[in-house]
Amino acid sequence: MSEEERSDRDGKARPADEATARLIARGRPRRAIPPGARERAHAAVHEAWRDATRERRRRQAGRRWHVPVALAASVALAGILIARFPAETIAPAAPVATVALVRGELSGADGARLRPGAELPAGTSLSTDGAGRAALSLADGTSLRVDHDTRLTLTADARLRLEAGAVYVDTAPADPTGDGVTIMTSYATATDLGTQFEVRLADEAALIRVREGKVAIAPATGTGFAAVAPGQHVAPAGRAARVTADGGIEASDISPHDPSWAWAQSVAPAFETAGDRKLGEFLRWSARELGLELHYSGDTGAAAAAVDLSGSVEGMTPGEALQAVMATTTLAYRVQDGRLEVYRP
Amino acid sequence: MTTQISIDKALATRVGRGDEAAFEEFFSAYFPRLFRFALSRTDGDEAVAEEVVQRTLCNVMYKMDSFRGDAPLFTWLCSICRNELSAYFRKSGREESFAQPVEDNTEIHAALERISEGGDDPLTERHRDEIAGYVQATLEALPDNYARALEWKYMQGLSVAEIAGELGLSEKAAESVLTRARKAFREAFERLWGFAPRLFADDRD
Repeated sequence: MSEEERSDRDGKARPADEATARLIARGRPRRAIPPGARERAHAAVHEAWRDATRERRRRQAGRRWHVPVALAASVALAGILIARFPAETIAPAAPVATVALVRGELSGADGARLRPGAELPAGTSLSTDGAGRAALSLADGTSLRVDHDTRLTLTADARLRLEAGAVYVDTAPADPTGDGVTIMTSYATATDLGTQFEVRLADEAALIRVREGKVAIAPATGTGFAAVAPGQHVAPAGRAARVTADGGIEASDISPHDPSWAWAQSVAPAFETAGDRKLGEFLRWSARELGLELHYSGDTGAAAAAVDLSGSVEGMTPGEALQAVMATTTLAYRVQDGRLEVYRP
Repeated sequence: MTTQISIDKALATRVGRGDEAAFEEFFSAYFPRLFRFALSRTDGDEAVAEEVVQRTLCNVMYKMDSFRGDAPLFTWLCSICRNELSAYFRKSGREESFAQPVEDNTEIHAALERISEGGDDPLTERHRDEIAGYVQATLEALPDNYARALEWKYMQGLSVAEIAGELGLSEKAAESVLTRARKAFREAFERLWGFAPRLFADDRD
């Protein structure tokens, strides 16, 4: 028993305890939690937790690819060491991305058309023409969208070199400690810190626009591609940075629901409805894709968390899917001032 | 020895792994504390506090893996909540509401010393209200069982036996809770307000 507890039992309070007691007696009790607040928050947070758990498991499944990568590396090294001897087999390079969706044409370096499901190893060069757009799924679960007239090379896990056009990156919500996706250009290198952002090459500059989270930007210091130096410049959500060849940076604002993000939505892989998915998860996905803040009125958060989804939204953009799904529920929504508001009609 | 941080780290790990019971334990322990933390920074605007805390906890669900246990879980949550509050105020064009640290307020400093020493009470209405607010916010930063025990004992005047009954504990265990609660109050007060009455220093274990 501590001296303090012993003094309590002896009925002899110590000066620190007496001072504490006098001070607390002059205070107000804690404020009450308003009715319903706990339940509303619980519904929303529980839904986010389920979504995050599912996402984490998906990512872990993705990481299992790293085992074949390591094995392939070992095999490759062994291949070098025994190169003088006839090699019986050559290990195929492990994929760093998979084609998730194509609208128009997506081509490999040899001009061959790539279709959904195609696995892309490190070193793959891709291009789209004036009518083509595509979405790739990187090994860590990141969604990479490729705009018209784009050329890029997947250099390694979560790293690519953008030579023309534009890409949009959608990783998990902000995790400042995570290893981010890195986009290298001849003007700057951008590394995500848990975010949604776009890198576009135009008018002899790299335009980096941040929709959510933060992006570290390292301007190129000479010829060739810039070294990654996260922290040198960090652009937060709602800001854009135009980096020119001389390393100059011009900053400006960009709204997360600006119409110019629409191209990335047009190649958003469809929300998967299979496997006990709830309306709440779908609404979070929709709001994120549309750059809106999700807001529930009254008990609609709890209601959305309880509604099971069925059917498919394959082939629809996030906006179309939202309209189609909500039409089948007793809830309604409106988009106003950057918010996706769910309410009871 | 099991420390609070190791308990926090274990809880965060279980929540991150998808353990439903751990999620409920986490939510029950931290939603009320975080809500009151936010409320004290929104001029009592409950709707704003609810929105900000909901957003904070939703974001936390996606970054539970990044809690490294460098500080207690509540401290980590508060730092994320502060960022959400700043973002909210920046967007809405409202000014953030922060209590002035006691160390910057010499009149309150002197009044706190007088109260803690059991001296006369020549406080103005404004000082009384400010001190009541500091105590309230300090209680709100404590774990629920500590804050409840202190409220019962020093605001409602319940005996240790009555508190033991409310908590479903033996009297000895209730005394132990009160001891730890007082110590936690003193530590939280100093941490929150950058000042502690002189007598708080007489805290030998």
